[in-house]
Amino acid sequence: MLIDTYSRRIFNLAYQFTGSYETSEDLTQEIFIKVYSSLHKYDCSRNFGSWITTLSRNYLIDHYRKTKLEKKQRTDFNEHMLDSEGKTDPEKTIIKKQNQKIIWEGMSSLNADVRMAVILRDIQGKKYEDIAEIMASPLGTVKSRVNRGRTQLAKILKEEKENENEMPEN
Amino acid sequence: MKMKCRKIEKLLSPYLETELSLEEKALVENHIKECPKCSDLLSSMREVRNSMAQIPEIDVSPSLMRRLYEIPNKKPKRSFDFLLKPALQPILAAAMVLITVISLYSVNPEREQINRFINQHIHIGYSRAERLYARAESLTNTLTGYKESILFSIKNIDFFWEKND
Repeated sequence: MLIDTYSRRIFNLAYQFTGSYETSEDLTQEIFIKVYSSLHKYDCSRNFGSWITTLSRNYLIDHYRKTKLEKKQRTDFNEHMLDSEGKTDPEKTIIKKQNQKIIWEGMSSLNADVRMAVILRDIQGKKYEDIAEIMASPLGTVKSRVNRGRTQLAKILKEEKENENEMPEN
Repeated sequence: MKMKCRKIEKLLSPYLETELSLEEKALVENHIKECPKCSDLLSSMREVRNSMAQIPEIDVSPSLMRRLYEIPNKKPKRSFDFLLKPALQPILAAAMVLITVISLYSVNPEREQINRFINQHIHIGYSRAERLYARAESLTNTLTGYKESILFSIKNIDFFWEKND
């Protein structure tokens, strides 16, 4: 039941954070092992979903700090994201997908905390209060991280688009 | 970057989420009318936000689901696993023998007899050791008496005996 309810959420968080499909599968398995071994520490007064997301977030950031490998691995976007929207019209989504691809790859330049804050807010649509609880950070810090992440990604997107526009002239 | 642009940059995210006061909102709007750079940045941020909101969730593969379902069946890691280390086995074996002997002794109805037997043998052993020590002392005294003659004999041994013709 725990797996049915939370596997998709944990796997997607891992995938959005690392950008690597295979690494995310391994990390999801490791996170579930960690969940099982930490269940006795769960405080019943807390929301279980937030607790499991906090645990996943801590595990992912620890992994990032230990390895920093995913900086070179955010290359799985097209293969998996386009597959998941196979039924929609490809022509309509091509520009949107191009932007998403630039943003997806650009996330590798964000530091772990900024990246996590942006993912939780803009991809997963969580409330700032919930993100603050998950990240064990003050609300102001979370908002500042989200703003920093969006600004960095906006600059990357703008720069990439300008480069693309300049290419035919060269 | 101008000071004002830096200040406005920090307000763009809350502006997009309509979290600014009327005064701050007017400040941002007046600035982006005059500053194409900040205006472009705001458009790009809006695009980033919209694009990210549309990044789809992906399904978990059946192979990962299988791997996850296998986890609860795996043997849980025990906190006393260190006792199974091969290096500790002789110590554990000795401890087991000791525990067995102590248990047998403590439940034995003839414990008094065993105590007496142990005391007796300790005393025998002690008196044997005393006798041995006394003999060793007398041997030392005897050897000291012969010390001079032994040394004299050693000194006069002819190691390079030559044949006298």
